[in-house]
Amino acid sequence: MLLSRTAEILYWMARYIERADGTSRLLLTHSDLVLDLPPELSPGWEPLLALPGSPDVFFQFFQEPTERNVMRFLIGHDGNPGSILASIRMARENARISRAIVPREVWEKLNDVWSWSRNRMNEGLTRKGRYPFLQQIVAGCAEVVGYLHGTMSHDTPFDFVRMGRDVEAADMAVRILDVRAHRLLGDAHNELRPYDDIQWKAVLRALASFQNYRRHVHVRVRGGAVLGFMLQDEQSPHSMLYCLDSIEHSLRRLPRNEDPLRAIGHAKRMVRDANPYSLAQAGLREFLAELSAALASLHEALQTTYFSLEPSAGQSLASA
Amino acid sequence: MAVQVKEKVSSSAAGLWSNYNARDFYDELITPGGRPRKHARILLRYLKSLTPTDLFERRQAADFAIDAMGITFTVYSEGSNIDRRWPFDIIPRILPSKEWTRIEEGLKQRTQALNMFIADIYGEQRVVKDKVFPQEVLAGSQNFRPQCVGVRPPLDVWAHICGSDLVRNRDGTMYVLEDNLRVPSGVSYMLENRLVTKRVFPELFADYRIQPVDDYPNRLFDMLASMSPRPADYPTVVVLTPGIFNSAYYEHSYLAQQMGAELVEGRDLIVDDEDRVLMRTIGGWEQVDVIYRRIDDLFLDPEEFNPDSLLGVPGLMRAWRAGKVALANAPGAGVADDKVVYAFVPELIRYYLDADPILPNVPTYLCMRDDEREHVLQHLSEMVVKPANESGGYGMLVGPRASASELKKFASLIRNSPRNYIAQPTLSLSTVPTLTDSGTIEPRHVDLRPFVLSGPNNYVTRGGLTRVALKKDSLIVNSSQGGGSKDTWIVEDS
Repeated sequence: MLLSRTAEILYWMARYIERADGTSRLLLTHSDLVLDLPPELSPGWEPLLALPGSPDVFFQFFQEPTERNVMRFLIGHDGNPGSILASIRMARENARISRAIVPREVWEKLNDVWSWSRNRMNEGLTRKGRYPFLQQIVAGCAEVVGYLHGTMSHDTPFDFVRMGRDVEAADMAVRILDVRAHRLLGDAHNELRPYDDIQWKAVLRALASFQNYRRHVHVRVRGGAVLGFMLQDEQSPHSMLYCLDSIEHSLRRLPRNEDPLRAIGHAKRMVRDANPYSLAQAGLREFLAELSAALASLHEALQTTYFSLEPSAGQSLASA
Repeated sequence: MAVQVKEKVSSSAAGLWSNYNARDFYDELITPGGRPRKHARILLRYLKSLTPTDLFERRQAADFAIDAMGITFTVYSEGSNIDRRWPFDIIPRILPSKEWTRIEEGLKQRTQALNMFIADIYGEQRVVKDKVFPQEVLAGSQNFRPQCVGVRPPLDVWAHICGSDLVRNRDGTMYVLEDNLRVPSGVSYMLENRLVTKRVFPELFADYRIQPVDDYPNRLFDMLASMSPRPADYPTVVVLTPGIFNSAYYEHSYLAQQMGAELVEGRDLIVDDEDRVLMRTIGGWEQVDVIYRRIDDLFLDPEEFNPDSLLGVPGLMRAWRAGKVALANAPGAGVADDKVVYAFVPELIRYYLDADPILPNVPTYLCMRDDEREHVLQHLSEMVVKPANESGGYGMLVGPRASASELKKFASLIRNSPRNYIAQPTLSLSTVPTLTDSGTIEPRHVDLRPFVLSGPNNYVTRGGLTRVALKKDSLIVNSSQGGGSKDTWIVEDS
């Protein structure tokens, strides 16, 4: 038995943890990338605003997407509900509400990450302090996830934690590919070629997948191969297909799973059928937009099936 | 030699104790002559062996533990809710088990009589017909619920969980100050305080035989389960909370977790057309058997009480009256924790149980009675005046501390609605040594809230929550108003 509201809270807690982690990684790799590229080829900081619904909000508070402004906005600006700090705060709030079910260590660690990151944010905003600050957050998130996996019963509530993580990781993969896509595609920027692999490496690093890629794909870091790996690899935990498979596994253990399974089936077909090598040449952004819509309908199906359950005439009771 | 002794004193915390003076208050740990009470000897010897630095470190360890465990309480401040660290003093309050046994008997006696009274009030009202309890007090009760008349909850128990506040006066007598029969809170802090103390002073647990407190959640669950209208090994028991913004949310969540019960909000529940209470789960709707509700009566069911309440469940009273769900505490139980009713409790014990009260009441003047009101008005500056239906220490007048204008204001409040006020002589609450912010050890006033469970068996917590007024000379122990708490030890005589 699992309360709908609790399921929703666990799902969102895991999404926020994953979001804080993913955003931190992206900022780390992007900062590295900017250092590696010659100034005239630098992507600048604006591409980072492609993160959860950011650009419009960003320009309400800032005029220029400078390094300082973008970092401040993404790390912990009060006006950005998608910032790293806001995500940690929401993860903590959700853990707090669900303390009856979340292992105590998870709550204690999230509490700790939250107060630490809030106190140290100003250091994190300096160039020198950014790296250790973000590393610490990535490490904190890993510890929380470790407690979740290592101490929480792998039962139904855990399936919602897992699905929250997977949906967010899939979402994050789409966004990170999107952040890079418009600079990496086609032959228009021939002068970029020597730095191409650096940029694709940044994609892999942002998705914590570079080592996995090296081990499993014995080719140089090339657009098509990287895309293929990020979309279709079945073992790397930040690849799209891995996330979708994992969601499907969780769903198969849950009751009343028809609608969400249909949504996941649709997304999986889309990913399997994609040709990464041709997408690396053209049409990636359109494809990512479609994939993003498929993930949104998956979330929608979870929402209506499990979370918002409306009263209807002649209630039939759940069978235990 | 003298020099040696002096050095020893200044390097240990013993120096911190040399000026300890509880004046003419009763101190729980120290005799008027400045010696440790028998049950406090080991503790005091131990504390005096610590250097001020040690003590400071122990306090820091407690603060870390409290932060790490996330023990908080919520205060309303300037329109927003803030989580504050639970204020805790590391020096425990100790009661010998022999004294405790008598208090325990007294509490059981008292809650039994209170439950019989509530059942009577919503039933035949014998107590009114026999002129033991005046009709006009009942008529003026804000917590009497006409919706409950004629209902017979299982075992005729209405107040399943009772938190009574005890205070010790100058002469050492323990009095019952009030009974909380609606949604008494604080028990989670009692449990957490013990966990913190075990981390801070593990050595002492070897030297003392301290009665454990941690069986409370199991006892609570068993009591709740025993009320289930559907016989089953594992009835569905839930804790109903107003939500995360409630000041006691931490406790609601803690108890649900400790009992393995679901923590629900009103929006998780519906009542169907067969009067069953159902909860929204990922598998569909599931029937609920027992609700430990931490929502006030008036917000429980918008169909019958406050129609604007978003916290409650429409139809819940219907389901309860139909016997399809058990509610703890039963709606309407608050009729007996009115402070006017309080004055009658000793009489009620004699009436229902044909026994003398084991625990005394604080002498109480009812402002509704002409002669008592005149006495109160004449001695207002010596009295504590309380509104009949407030809790949390709000709306009170502490006569000896009040300004002339406050006294005047209360005099007119009392004249305008005498039924709403009672007055008691100002008690000299007992003190316990407490580590102050500046690192000194000084006496601070305390009360004690034990919790009593009533079901097929009655159960009293081993000790309870000791609340302490952290401000010098203050008598207000509520955490919302600068109060803190201490671990409470019931120790076996060695």
